[in-house]
Amino acid sequence: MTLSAWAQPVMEFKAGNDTYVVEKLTDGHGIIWGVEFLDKDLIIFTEKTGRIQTLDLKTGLARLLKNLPSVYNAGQGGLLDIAVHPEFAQNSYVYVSYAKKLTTGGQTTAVARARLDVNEGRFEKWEDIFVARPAFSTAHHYGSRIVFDKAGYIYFGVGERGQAELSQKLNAHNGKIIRLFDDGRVPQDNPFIGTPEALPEIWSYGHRNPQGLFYDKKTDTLYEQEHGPKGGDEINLIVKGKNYGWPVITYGREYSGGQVGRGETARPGMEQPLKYFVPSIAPSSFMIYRGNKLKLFTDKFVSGALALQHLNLVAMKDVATACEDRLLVGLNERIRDVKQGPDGLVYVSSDNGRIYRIRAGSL
Amino acid sequence: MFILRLTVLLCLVAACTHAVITTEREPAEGLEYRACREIEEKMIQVRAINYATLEKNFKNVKDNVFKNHCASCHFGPDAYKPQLDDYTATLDYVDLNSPEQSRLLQSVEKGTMPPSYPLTNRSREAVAFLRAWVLDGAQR
Repeated sequence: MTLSAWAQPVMEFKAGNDTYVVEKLTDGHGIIWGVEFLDKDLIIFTEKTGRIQTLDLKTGLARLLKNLPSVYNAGQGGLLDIAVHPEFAQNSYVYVSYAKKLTTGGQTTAVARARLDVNEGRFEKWEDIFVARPAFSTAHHYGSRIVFDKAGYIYFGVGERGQAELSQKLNAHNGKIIRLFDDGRVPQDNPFIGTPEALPEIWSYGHRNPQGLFYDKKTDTLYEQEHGPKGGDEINLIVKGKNYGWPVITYGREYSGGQVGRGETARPGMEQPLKYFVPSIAPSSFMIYRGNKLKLFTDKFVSGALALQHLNLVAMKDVATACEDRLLVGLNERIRDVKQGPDGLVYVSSDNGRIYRIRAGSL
Repeated sequence: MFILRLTVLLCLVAACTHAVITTEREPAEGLEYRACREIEEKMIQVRAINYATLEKNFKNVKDNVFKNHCASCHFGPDAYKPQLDDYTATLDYVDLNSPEQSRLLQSVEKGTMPPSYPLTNRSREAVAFLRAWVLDGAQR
């Protein structure tokens, strides 16, 4: 393992007989919403304010990129997730999700892509491949996470923007997982092609605010994690065309403490979560760690937690009843994104404008 | 339910002394969950840069002030101006006849730069060191 002299150890933690070190890799930024890897030594990350930077893991230097997309930065909106095309080495495409203000009124979740010249540090022209409709004047629940599957389809989550009833309606993108070709075209095997009034981009529905999305190459499976209201955050296994129930069924309650709808937690035709969290941890991001460098993490769901400010680990096996490990509590930071790096280590960003790396070993 | 144990280490960049401060705290309300195991976390405090001992020259300004607060936008030939890892380019933003009026100093002290985050006590020390370097003639 290559240790970087510039990386600053900030925490050591012990779990059983194993010891891990948390290193700070960069600091002094805004909310770092999305973190990805351009190659094994180069991170690319978004700040909610609208900036995109690279972080060179050989030197520790961050570099602000040029020709950035125009975003609507207010409330929970702004520049959100970032994804690198699986064939980036050939086509140079980088994708972002963001809050877009429409000239026709309101704002909405959009996904755009542009080619990145890494050497020049500059994006070429941005093009929207998707703009969710309808738009609303509210400034919350945009969803945002973007993933690609092994066939090259792109998936992302769109939040219900506070309009809970739209999650059950197929004529709105709100509260949905979307599936497209990498250029924004709609695959003709999407589940609601041909359904009257249904939007063809929809892959699954009945979601609230999906802010975790992970494609597991090992099992060719899509997983999603979403914010519940007061309690009821969920981990879901996403299946084509399925209804995940919000707001008809939920394990959460209204912020006032009252029941949501009729207070149902199950109904035929609606999927149960693999796991739900009561109280909410407020999940920001989500992955399955498939590496072997960090034994504690292997084959576990790893979630960033905002409200409860930790990194959450729960085993995939019997996940509904499995115990949890809550890490990085001492940082006292809202964990915003979590990724497994090409080196098999875990990288975490926070709302305090920092990126951390977790490695095995001691100081 | 485990009590979270937080230990603070004092770390002098390369050499660390362990277990200086240990605190225990009860879990906050809302932390009801079944923990798999006890996790013992030890926080490490890194000694802050001691600007008082640094010679006021460009290398120290670059390595301790610019690198930590400005590099992402102002390092490298393609960066936004001024290119702060280049002495000559940086001097273009220093007025040696009226150092207080230097654009480099004014943009930082008026809060224009850095643009996206507020100054902390540590970064205020960095600004003070930058000021001292400029007023001292911005030596190489």
